[in-house]
Amino acid sequence: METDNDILAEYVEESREHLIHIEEIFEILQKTGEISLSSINELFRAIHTIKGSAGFLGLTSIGTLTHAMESLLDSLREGRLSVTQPISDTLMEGTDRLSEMFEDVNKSNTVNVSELVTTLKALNSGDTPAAVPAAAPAPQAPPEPVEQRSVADVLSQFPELAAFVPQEPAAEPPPVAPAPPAPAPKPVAEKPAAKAPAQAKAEAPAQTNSQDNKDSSKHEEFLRIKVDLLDRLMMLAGELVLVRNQQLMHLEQADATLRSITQSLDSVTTELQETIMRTRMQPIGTVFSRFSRMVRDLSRKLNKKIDFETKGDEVELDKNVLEAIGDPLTHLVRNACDHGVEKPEDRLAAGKSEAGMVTLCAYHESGQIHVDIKDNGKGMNRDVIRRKVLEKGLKTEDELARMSEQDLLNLVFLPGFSTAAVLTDVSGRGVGMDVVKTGVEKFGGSVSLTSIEGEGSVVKLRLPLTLAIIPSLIVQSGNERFAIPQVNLEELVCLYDKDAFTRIECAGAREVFRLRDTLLPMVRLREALAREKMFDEDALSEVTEQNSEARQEMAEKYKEAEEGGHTIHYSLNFAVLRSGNLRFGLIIDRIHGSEEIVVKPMHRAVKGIPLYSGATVLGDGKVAMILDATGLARHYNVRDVGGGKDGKKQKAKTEEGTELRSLLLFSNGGSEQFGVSMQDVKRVEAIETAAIERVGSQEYITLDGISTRVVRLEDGLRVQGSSQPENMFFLIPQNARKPYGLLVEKLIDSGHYEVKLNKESYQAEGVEGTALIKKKMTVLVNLEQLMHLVDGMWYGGQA
Amino acid sequence: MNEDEEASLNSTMQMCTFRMSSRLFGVNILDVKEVNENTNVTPIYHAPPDICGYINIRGQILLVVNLRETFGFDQRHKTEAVGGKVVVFKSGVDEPFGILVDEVCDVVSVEQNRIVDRRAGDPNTSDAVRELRRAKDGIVVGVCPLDRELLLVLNARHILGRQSVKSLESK
Repeated sequence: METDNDILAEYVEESREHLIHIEEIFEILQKTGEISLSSINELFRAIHTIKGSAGFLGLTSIGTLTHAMESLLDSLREGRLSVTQPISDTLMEGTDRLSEMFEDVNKSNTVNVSELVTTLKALNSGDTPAAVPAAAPAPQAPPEPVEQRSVADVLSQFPELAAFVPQEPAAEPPPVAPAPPAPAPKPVAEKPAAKAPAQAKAEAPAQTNSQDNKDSSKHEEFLRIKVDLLDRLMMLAGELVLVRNQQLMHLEQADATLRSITQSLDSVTTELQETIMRTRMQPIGTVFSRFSRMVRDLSRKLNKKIDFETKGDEVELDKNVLEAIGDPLTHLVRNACDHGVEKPEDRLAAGKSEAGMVTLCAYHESGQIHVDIKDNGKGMNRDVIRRKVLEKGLKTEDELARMSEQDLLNLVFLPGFSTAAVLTDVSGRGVGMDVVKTGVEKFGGSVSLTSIEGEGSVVKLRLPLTLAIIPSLIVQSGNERFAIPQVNLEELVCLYDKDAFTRIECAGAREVFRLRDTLLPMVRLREALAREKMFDEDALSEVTEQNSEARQEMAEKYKEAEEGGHTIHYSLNFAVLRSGNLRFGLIIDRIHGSEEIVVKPMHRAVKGIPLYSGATVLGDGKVAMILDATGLARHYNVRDVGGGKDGKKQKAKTEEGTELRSLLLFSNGGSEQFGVSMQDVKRVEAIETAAIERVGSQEYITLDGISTRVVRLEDGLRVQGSSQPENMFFLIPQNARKPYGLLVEKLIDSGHYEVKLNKESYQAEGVEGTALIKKKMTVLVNLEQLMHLVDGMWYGGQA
Repeated sequence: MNEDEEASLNSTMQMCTFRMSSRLFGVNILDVKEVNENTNVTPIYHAPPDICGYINIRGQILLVVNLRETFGFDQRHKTEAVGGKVVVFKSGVDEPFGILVDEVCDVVSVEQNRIVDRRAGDPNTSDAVRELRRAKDGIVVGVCPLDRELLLVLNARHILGRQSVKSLESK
């Protein structure tokens, strides 16, 4: 195709916008079952505009199809035909086909549209005899050639197209006459004049005009802006914030006038930054909208009745994130329709309404966007999952027996779980769930699943607002600070005093640390930075030797000091990082805390260095490198030291009826010991009790700028109240719909414990049961239930 | 000399000149975006030795190159504090980067035909040039005699081109 690429690109862009508009109209049609004349007019105009430029650009397939659609719409518009199911379906199919063709517009001419065109023609002629003379014989091929000739731009096409022209020149002349690339309204106004019976004619132009005005005003509200320009703006705004911060620091000595000026500068800067951030945001509705069609098609294909609803269409997400979630969402919605919602007869038999319901719901929460995919279908059958997992050999019967209900559900995320066989056998879900999980996790999101058998399932996606800004931990080694993306970070470990030199052990040439039940290979960031060559065994043993000497020295000094009656304080920090299936401890000099960073790619000249995944500007304006866990592990030659996992398994098998659970143990002042599942806890903050504020009967604390509701154990359970010491701990749960946390007085320990759950001894809502842990009776708290209890509305369960 | 330079051989060119290890260098002023203070360089471990690190200039992260290291000037007194200014190049030259210099001097107009292509192998070339020739190809495109000393003309576009090759080699 010899077409000007710029014009073509613009045309494609424009046409896509038209198609989106068309789909919106169809959506209304689907919902309400009727369509207004003005909507038909809009459809007609949109299709006509696409057609016009298609001819001019030599896109014959698109031209032919749009022409057929246009003719049919014309008949509808003039009342010769009324909108029936087959007509709307075919038009929608046509729209879909157009969308496909616009995906790769250069190949669009190879797409065969003749069948669809025939159907369209048949529909146009079939129902009303009146339409036959005017529209039905209208041949579909000619408009392009004619238009092409009138524009006379695509010369190379001419001979071949000319062959078409003589065949049916009579059919089209009047409508084609207006300049094709011109905006739609004009031809619309003329066409009825040429063809339509008097009755319709009077009405159509009037409406067209009012629509025109609306259209043009709509266009003025948008402006296409290059993304680089926005990026640059964002960067400058960030810099402005730094300058402002510097000024704020010097404000101490300033006089009152300057202070107030600075304060307004401060607020303007903040607002400016937020506004610029928002320019990249788009409403999630743009992604949601495509699913209503999909659900409709699926329901017909599956012979089910499914209603579809979206909530929170206006919630805004970064463009990149929006693009990335399309596929996972498609997967999940399809799953919900296919495996979640039952057939009508089954639903009736189960005492439910005939039509199932699939809901997509987006909302903001604690700096993230949550998207719930909910259905009121049959839910997931734990037994089926159990059977499947056994069949696939993913887990042993023993392991399954020890799993909690939730753990069982989570098995559907196992990679091996989703296979073709599962798809046909299992009456639950789990098809390609691992794909969804990896897809979502790749850009820093997470997935969780809840399901009640017979009532339905909810898949919750948690997504970052933007990909450009990632939460990270800032650490220091030597004089330099580095950022570690939170995604790679599992936990932080600090060893104090004696532990600092006794707990790190040598295994062969490597240093390892016994973290609970696993052996963790250690990486010293300082050494990794100092040595440019990839670590081989020699280098490793050299490092290990040096450090074990250093440790010995420390031990001696410590002992000396102890004998002398005073103590030396040592501390050793490391971060447990995960890269793929590999975990390792990264020893660093200092931990600074977490910061949201903007990732900048590495410069071309230093891109090849495996240690870094990018660079960023920190809050104080200094550049910090972003560490790449995978590259670091490779550079340090980290291998799985093994031993750990097996040991765990053996241990898990020792006693019947027990379950190995990862728990966080704490006390609330009194002598009672409590535990919560580690996986329910997002993080733990050390707080000062003085910072807790009271509002009415509720207590709040501000964490990271978010007011977080404080829940006390004694609010929901009959246990001893806390004595309110100065410093307490705050457990922030996973999966909370609103920010809240559990206030506890003292953390005792965390780790994997064998739990033999006793449900009889202490029964209360919010409590799972009791167990003997570390030779002490421990009350296992169910965070979710506890929050339900304290404030039912707060928790985003399966309501 | 690249083609552009040759095409305009007889015209004058404005050079932004600066000193490194007491030698005078110049780059085409049209390639220069700004001159900045050298503050707070973040080192990039494992980068080639003549890469100083990253600095932040108004939110943009900029790679800083120490040409003295590239040319091997600094072997004798490495402990000496490195230069005080960064000459930042325009975005068209390469991905954002700058070079570390001791001191920025005047803007000098030189006639293009006064720049001697050092590759011509003129027997009168000074020691400094010979030294440079030995060290690095491509960066120094020629020598221009000024009133009192020689100006070494650099092509900013070649500074990092070569470096990326080098970092590949070391892999």
